[in-house]
Amino acid sequence: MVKLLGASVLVLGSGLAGVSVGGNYTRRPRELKSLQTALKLLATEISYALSPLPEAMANVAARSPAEAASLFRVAGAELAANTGGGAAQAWQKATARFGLNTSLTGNDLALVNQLGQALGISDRDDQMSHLELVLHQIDLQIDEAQAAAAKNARLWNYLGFLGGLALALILY
Amino acid sequence: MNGSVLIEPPVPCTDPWPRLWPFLPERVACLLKGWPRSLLGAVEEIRLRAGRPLTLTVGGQAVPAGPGGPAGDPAAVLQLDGSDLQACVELISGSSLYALEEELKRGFLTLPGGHRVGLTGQAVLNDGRVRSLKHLAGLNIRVAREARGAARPVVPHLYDREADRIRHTILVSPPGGGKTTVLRDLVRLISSGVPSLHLAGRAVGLADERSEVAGCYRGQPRLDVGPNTDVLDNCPKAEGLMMLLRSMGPRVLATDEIGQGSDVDALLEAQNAGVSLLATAHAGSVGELFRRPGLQRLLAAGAVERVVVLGRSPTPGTLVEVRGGWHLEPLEVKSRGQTPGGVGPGSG
Repeated sequence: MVKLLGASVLVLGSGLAGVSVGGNYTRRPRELKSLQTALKLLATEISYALSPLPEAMANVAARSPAEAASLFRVAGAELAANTGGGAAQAWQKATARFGLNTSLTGNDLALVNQLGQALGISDRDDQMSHLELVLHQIDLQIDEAQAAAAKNARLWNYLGFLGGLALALILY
Repeated sequence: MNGSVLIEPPVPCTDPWPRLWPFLPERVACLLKGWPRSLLGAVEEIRLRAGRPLTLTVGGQAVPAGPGGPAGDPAAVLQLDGSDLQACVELISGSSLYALEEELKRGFLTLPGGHRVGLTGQAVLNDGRVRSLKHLAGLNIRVAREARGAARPVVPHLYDREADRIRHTILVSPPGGGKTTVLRDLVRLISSGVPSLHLAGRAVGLADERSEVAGCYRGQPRLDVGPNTDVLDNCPKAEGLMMLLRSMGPRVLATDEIGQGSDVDALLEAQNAGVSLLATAHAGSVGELFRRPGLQRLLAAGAVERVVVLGRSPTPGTLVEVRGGWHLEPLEVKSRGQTPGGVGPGSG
């Protein structure tokens, strides 16, 4: 009886671990798409509304999908607090905090982070070209993430349960 | 220049530095905070240039800045680099340089507090005209000071009590002579009224093309220009004067630094509409004023009843001479040589 209980805990545990890893793969394209939408909103704020950056960030946070909103909310608050580091530092802090709670990879985050070096320090056309470059790179990341999700999400879901089952059988 | 709109009453104090520190790069602010207050009080301009020493204009002289005061030894001068300029641009633009398109095109912007920042760098052209600036490499922050009472000695010469009107007047001085400071105070006094002269407050329209008189930030005057003054900020003078005349019904129209033909046309138009005119003009002397073609026309049309000459010594804004009458001959000035109200330096 105890053995059976132990085996089912093992199967359930490793199954859930597999689902969690697989979930990361399916969440990443979704988060990248949200980020892309939010950055497009930022581009609109900059090119058409010409809103100052703190205001632009707050507006984007209010209108963008939930997954990306926190990044812009934090960046906007940092900028409004004007701690002296400028847009680059505010953006870096915001991406660091955003990265703690996301399925994005280090590469994705580095892409977002690098945008901070250019934010707010040049004219509209230059800002647009930087944003367009990042949006294009995110496009590529989305393709890659979708391929990885198709390949790995189901694999990890099965692998978790089957691996747990195999281990349980060996130990039984 | 943060996102939120700042709504504060104009600050009556004349110490401009608390409003300036947040816009200076850390190294520059640290250095200048070590200067004695008396010296800071005399600073007219702060010039930042990438790759060159920090230079201040004090009492009309360019002074290399070192720790604790002007640096005699070239090694002690604070050398600025590109990152200082970059930091300053970020601070004055609120990390939103792209939002300052119009300002970059004109080559200057105004900080909250009325301080004007001139910009140089590489011009970006479009069809042969300057569209913007990039690679900003030089900034000149002109420290704006309010000097309440600076125009008090001037007002009696301009007010015609019998007709209850202000005479058409041009304030004249060389650059840095305190024209703008005196004009600002004159507008304030006329707008609020001077009971001792039986001058009742009246509506003043101010066309402030370079945001220097009222120091507008987002359309709201940040320097005290009186309770009854309408400011059209950032608007070309000729157009602004006509707009104010048509829309706001002013009894007095004021503007800074006239000279171009179109300004003169607008002033003549306004004069015919029965509005009193106040303007300033760069000129070392009245003789120079008479030689400027645009102003010649204004003078020939009899549109100037008083010329007030201001000087730099002992302090900017000192009343030197008042001229009036048919040939603009010198009138007797009782307060000659006095410092009207203790005008601080700067804001020429």
